[in-house]
Amino acid sequence: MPSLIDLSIHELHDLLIKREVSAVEVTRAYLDRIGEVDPKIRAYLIVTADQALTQAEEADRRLKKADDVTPLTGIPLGIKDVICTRGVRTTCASKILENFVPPYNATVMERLEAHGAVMLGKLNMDEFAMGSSTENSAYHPTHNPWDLERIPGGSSGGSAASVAARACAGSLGSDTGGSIRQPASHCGVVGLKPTYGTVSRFGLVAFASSLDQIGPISRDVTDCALLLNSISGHDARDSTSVPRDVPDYTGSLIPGLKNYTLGIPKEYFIPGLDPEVEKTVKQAVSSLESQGAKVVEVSLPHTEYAVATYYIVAPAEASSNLSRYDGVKYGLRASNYKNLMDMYKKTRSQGFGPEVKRRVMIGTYSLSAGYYDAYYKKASQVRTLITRDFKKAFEQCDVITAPVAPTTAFKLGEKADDPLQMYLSDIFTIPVNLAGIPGISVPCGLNSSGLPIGLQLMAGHFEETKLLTVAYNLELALGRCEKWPIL
Amino acid sequence: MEREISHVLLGFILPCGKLCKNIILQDTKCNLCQGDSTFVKITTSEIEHVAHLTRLSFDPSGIESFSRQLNDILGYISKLEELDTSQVEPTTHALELTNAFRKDEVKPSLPVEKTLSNAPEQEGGGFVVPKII
Repeated sequence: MPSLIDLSIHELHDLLIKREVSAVEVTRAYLDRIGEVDPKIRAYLIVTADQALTQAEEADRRLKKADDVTPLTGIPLGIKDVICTRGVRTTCASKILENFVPPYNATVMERLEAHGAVMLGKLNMDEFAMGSSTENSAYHPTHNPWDLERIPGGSSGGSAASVAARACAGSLGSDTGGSIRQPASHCGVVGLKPTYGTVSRFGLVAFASSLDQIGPISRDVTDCALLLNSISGHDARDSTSVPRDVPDYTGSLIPGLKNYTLGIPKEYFIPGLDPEVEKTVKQAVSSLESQGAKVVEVSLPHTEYAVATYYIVAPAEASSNLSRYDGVKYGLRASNYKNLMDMYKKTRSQGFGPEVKRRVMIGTYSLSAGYYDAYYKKASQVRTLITRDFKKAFEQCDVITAPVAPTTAFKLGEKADDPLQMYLSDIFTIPVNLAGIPGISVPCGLNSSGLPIGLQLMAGHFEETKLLTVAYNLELALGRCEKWPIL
Repeated sequence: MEREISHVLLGFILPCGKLCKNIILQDTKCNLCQGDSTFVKITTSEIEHVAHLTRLSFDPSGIESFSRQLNDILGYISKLEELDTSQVEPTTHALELTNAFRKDEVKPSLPVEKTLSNAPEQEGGGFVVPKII
């Protein structure tokens, strides 16, 4: 029998319901694994071992009675540290929230708890989810399990690295401009950003409210569907959550792509795209063709403006959202201040890292008197053009196929001094957030140095089922990745 | 001849006196009139003003590296000026949702002590702040 940590969520579930293993045994196996590999990859900010074992005991009671058992009962998961967990520190990898203990659970945590899932701990990230490498964590960087000298991607770097390293069975991340898909691609795991409004943002610490979505990171597409089932659905506490029935996403895991048309956007195959990434992605599309799909070329002409648009919209929203960190209600308060203004400035200057400061400065500048029309309004108009591009493209195809990132994982420190270069690495993931559509990254191969490459699939609003069908067929065509990084 | 050039929105007042929004960043020349406008950058005093608005303070060396990075980023962002958006409605929300109304009724909420549990300083059921007046 393979080791428990090698099993997917659905394989573990089979063993749990047959009572061949207990949830406590599974949780212990993962806690041991974390002890063994986390010193190398540093994916976790906090490991909640005692609480995890208590939750596992409770899951075992449910499994024993065969009462209220779901596919996630007794399954150990990791949670990005931007999601509020009652009684467990939630830092957003920032010094300003170092000692923040939420008095309530995010809606996604309530849902996972209701399913009897087990939380192993909180996962590292770029501070306030601002970054593409997890190097912006105020605590420590996370290392890519496939090559410890490389970044795992970001901002959900801990969420992707922990799944790839088998230090949790699955995880939750958040995606504002690619923060689930890009690390999933760099770590060789599945990562899905749902349609805006599918998953409640209540208790998700806000970065850019019109773009943020929580989503799953998993070993395979079936696990992705199971996790999405558990966290989706309307929530009255998030007024942007959409009142809409949630389908059973596992229903979309069906072989064959006979009636599917896939679009290849020419604007995503540009100079600067690594030739090995291009080749691997195109091979993946060919293998989908061999599953019965038709392939057409589509055009998303405003793609080249997406990064510029995003770096106005997201910082503008962030500058407003992050004004709440004022040293009054929660979080850090600096000492030795002269007056209220001095307290604000000292608190924020000491509490925020350089990237967060850069973004709130850009956001404040672009919203300040005299600049609003030129920056924020202009960007919001270009956002409309980007959204229209997608609408037009989806008249010709069901799902768009593209690379996730222009390169495989880069080295730690490589882009740390050049924020603009770091921003440009998000060029293929940002348009999805601006349009609010769903996107998924599915592993499609390794490059010649053994680094993972992901295929990105994009679909229209609430067409997650189409994404999962195509992703599942890619997995069938390529064979599920049985090769995991050796740590 | 050096001329004072004012920074108007993302455009530039050219020596010819016209407002130009069509700049080529590399050589900072106007696409249309080929005037040699100087690319006006965000200045140190502007950075200090924005820092105040956003309630941050920087030491002088920090301001310098910061202004270089901000100028790079803002320079890149001005790429959007290439597009004519005069007839385009702005998007502020990705989905066409209308207002989500709810009944205005009192529901259970967090007790005061829990709400205050993360406050750096609290007293008598409230947050303590430095004296304001």
